[in-house]
Amino acid sequence: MDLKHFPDFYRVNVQRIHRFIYFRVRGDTDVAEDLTQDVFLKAFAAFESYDPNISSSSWIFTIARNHVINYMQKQHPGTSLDEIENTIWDRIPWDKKMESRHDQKRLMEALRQLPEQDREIVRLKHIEGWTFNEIAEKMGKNAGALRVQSHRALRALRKIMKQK
Amino acid sequence: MTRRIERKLRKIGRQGNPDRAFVRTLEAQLRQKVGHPIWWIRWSKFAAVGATALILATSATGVYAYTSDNVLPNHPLYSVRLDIEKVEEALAVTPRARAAVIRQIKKRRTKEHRIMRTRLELRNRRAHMRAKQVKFLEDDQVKLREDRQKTQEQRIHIREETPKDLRGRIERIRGEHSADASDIRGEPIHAAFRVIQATGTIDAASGTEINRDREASHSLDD
Repeated sequence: MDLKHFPDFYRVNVQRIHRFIYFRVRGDTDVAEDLTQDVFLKAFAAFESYDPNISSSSWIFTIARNHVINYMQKQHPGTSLDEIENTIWDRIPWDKKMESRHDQKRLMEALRQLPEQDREIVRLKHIEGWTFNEIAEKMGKNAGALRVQSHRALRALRKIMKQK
Repeated sequence: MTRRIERKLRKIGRQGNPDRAFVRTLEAQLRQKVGHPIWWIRWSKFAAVGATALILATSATGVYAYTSDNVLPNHPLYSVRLDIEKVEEALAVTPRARAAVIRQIKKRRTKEHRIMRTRLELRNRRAHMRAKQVKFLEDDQVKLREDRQKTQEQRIHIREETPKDLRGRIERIRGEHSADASDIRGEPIHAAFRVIQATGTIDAASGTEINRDREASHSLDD
């Protein structure tokens, strides 16, 4: 794709990429900004070879995910890729890094109690702002089914919070 | 009911939003790499539109202030007219042109004074007419009130009248009316009375009847 389209591409994706990285680096703003910058510079370098038939969000999120994994491996050497990928979300100490209110902390605690797939859907959809189509593409599922699953996950979350 | 939870989750998500300064800085960096600052071309379009709108608005206001008869010394745009005239004067380089401009300005001042005078007269006339109308209405109101009061008093008087007073009033009215009636029938009655007197049927002094037959034969002979 022509490089002159890159600034538009940047404006469309910057907020979501930043959020994606932010919630994977324990809420550290400085690190998130550095990694976001690196991701977009990498994307810029590879933009001319980017195939517009592939979804732009998939492409940029792949770059972001790989970059974050590389970073976390550097920070915590010896851990496997799967470990980093799967527990990357759970590592966030909400009460330390983020200035969350008590109810938000309770909510995140309750979120951790959900099954893994439900947790991922809720996180991607409601926190990181992905669309159901993008989540469906990532997970290889139907968008409608994901919508239903998301609704059920939220109900389960509400139930957990009521019990607490 | 899950909407509250959704809102809370979205609020958490917003904490991950990038700082605006960071976004702009990175965008500038990337645009620099791209090689041409497209951003200023894009923003210049809006700036051009804004500037054009401003110029049009200013010129339209100026034209209105300069040509309209409604722009008089008490109008907010009058100062705009004076400024335009100053510019006009300054642009008139030759003495002839300057004289023409001054003549035009004087004409304009005269016209403004005439319009103001006419409007003032009209305003005064309207005020005078309004005052007259108000006075007329007030007088009308007063008269109406007086009539009402009078009628009220009459009604009270009638209500308070005793039957004796009423009879007296009726007799008076009859008396008035009968006098009127005799006047109306007038001459024929008096003429008849004179004839009867002349024929001797009724004694003129006492009004009593005299023997008619005796008198009638005399009158025929006569």
